[in-house]
Amino acid sequence: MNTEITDAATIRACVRRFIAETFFVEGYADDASFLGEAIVDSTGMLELVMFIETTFGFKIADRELVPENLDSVDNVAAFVAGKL
Amino acid sequence: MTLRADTGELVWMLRRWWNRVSARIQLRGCALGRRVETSGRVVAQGRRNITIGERSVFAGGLVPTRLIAASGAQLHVGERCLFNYGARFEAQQRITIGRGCLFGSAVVVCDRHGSRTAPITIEDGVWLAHGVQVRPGVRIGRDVVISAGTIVTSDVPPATLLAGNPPRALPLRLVNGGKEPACEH
Repeated sequence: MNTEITDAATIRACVRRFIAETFFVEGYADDASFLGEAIVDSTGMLELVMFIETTFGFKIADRELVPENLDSVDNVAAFVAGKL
Repeated sequence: MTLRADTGELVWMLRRWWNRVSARIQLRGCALGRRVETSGRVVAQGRRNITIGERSVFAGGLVPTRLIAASGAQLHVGERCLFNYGARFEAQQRITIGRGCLFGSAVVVCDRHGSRTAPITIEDGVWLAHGVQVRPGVRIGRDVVISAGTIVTSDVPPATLLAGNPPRALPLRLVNGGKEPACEH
């Protein structure tokens, strides 16, 4: 696990950087739905899952793969912060 | 303008009619439902053990689609399925395909791999993209989408997207923006 990344603000910045570098999308709200706002597509969601697992060092269980955990920067930050 | 539209419609109807005739010729001996169509080459072996549901369509392309059922085996295709070219379905025991499934080009569904033989079940509304391979004993749940090139070696729960290598199952609710799949089969 990366011990430097523990607070929600750092997680947000980390996720935003990943999305900018991978999908070339910037300038969206923290609560914007990735799929609803066409920020990330369906296979991109798989890339996001892999990114979270490798960067933050935990495995996401199948039951946790829900929009409430992964569909916006806010949701990802809250979910990851709860796991660290 | 109207004449051109009417001619286009007539050509379309004739093509559909010919596709149905072609299906009756190429798949003679199989248990065929109404309005099955083939717009390309389909090779069938073990025809008496093959059932194809009504309005299923086999598209044409570079390579023929192959439907093979060994002696004593069963290959059942449900209604309104769509097959792209070069797919191969080989039943040594039993392959069951539900209604409204879509199969990309070069898909391989074979219930024997090496020394292992076990029945394969594909439920309603499944979409297998190009080059997917389904191995023996697998059950693919309703409304599953499997991305190109994936090799499926274990059961897939309903309403999931299977992607990656090794494959990872994401609920369709996640990749659908929180909406449940609303498919009619």
